[in-house]
Amino acid sequence: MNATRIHAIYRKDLRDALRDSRLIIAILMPLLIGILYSFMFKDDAKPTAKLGVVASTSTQLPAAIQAATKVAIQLKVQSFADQAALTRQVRDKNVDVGLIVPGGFDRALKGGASPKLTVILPASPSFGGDYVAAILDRVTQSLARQVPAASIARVTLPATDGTSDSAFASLGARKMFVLVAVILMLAMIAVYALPAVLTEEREKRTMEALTLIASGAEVIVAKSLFGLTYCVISVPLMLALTRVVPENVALFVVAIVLTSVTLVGFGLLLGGLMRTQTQLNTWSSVALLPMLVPAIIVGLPAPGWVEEIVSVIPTAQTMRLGVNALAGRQLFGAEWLSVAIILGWAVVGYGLVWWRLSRQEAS
Amino acid sequence: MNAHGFGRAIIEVDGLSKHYGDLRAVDDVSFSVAEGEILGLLGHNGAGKTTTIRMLTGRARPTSGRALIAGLDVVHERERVKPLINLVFEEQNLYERQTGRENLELFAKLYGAPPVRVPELLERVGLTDAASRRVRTYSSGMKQRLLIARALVNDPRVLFLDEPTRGLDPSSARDVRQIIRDHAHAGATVFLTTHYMEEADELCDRVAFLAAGAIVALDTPRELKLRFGERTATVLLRDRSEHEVRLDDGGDAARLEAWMAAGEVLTVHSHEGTLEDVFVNLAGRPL
Repeated sequence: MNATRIHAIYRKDLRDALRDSRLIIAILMPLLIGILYSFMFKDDAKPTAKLGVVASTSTQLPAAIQAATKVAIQLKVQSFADQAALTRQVRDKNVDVGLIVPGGFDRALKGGASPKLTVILPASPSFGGDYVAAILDRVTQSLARQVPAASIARVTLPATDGTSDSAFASLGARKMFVLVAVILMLAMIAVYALPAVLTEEREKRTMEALTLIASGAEVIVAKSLFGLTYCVISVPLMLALTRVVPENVALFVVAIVLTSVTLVGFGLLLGGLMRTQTQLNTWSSVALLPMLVPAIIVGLPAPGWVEEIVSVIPTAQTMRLGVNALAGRQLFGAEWLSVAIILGWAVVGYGLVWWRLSRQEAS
Repeated sequence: MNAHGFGRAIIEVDGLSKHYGDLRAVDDVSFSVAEGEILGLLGHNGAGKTTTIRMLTGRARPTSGRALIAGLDVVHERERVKPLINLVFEEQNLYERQTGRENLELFAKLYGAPPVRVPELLERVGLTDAASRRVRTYSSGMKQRLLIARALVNDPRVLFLDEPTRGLDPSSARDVRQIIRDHAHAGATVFLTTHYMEEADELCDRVAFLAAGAIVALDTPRELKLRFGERTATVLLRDRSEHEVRLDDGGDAARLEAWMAAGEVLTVHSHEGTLEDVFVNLAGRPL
């Protein structure tokens, strides 16, 4: 490997990209979509949450909770016949938080007793669920006008596979869509911009002129650096223009860098397979879908089997990490698993690139 | 010094073959090219010219046989061969969004050539004034001269040219031939393929005819014409009739002798065979 040669090809690609309208549009399009989303949705839209209640006698507690939380969330209340039904709904994430109110709860409070109140939360509570659980003590005190008012038992359900459908509610539509636009931008670089550069080199046979002196590996490294530079410049630009600041910057950087490296690997592979620009135009849109759709699904309620399929796609894991980083808390668990899945795809992608390169050199 | 007055061999090819399945693109080809020599490879489309260049420049692996450049195996010592050679491609594969200067600067860096080499080469190929223009605005002749400048950036000991004057107007083609000649005069070896017989005749010290992947003749243009060409003469008689006679044909020679004896001959213009004739004789059809 010759660093001077890699640098020369890398610089040529960067300069060429600034003069190539196709590549400029490939970046501008997601950037404009991100900005559009940023203007369409506001951060101050109140998230929604659902409170499930099992109460054998009439109680004012749900109404009091609604009144206390109305500044921050839109809380809907739904009654359930028994604890088992409520627990099932919380586990299935149809309800953000469940309350088991014992019979005569209001009377007991007013009588100065401390009746037991059971709160049921999922393994990864939503913002609304957490908020209701946190405010419960204050609400019961207000009803009883005494401290402590009720003995609150908190039950957290064991984690189940799948995603948190509360990401949208917790993060807000604006940030979610900007994050989707970031992933769209990385995907566009991977499946279009980078392969376009490689395909043009092959189609116009400039690649042969390069490899007359440089090795195939040097060209590939230079192209990877070019793709990564495109990612590294465009993502902060998107965040700056949409005024989205991650709460956990380190996690966000890790997610974006890992995803960029992985997708660039697949971009190199795609670029290596395409012979003409026309082929690339056809196949890049096909390749874009499996990268983009999983990222969108992560923020939405979806059946378990869909979530299972989506969870093996690197961009879905980027979305999970990105949501956590933007929210500053773990809305999605097992961050290490997300990192491992993205890294796994990187190994597969670069492994295939290396395999193709060795075959070409041997022919 | 070899028989043709050139130095030691810098390209040595021994039994080189390239097969694609049943197709024998190049079949057991052997030859050598001396330092400072210009060798032309002629043949029909698909005769194996480009494949031969691809193998000699290390871009295609031979099925069998081997090729050495400056004593180095082009397959197993490719990295050491690379700085010694360069190639003018058949296609004008330049970076069209970059300027002429940027194109040369890129390859100067890739080959580790000093930056001063770029303006020198632009001057040499007459592109100094157009150096800051993007290549997409260049004419075909200008692009071809830039391609040659790019191939000279590392001052290669062996310069390969694949159809260097194809599609050029006569003036641009003459410029290109002059640059090639100058490079050879400076001591480099030139290996070129061409469709143009006159070009091969004018430019090449030796010519190899390739047909169906095999070399059917290899010698100086003069020797090839003498050995395989048809010597003819145009005879103008007193009655103003003009006759074409073949000097190697016994009947025609006797006819000419009779005209001479009768004092009927006004003028005789003899012609040696052309490379075109030689090629037709050897390959069975014209280029």
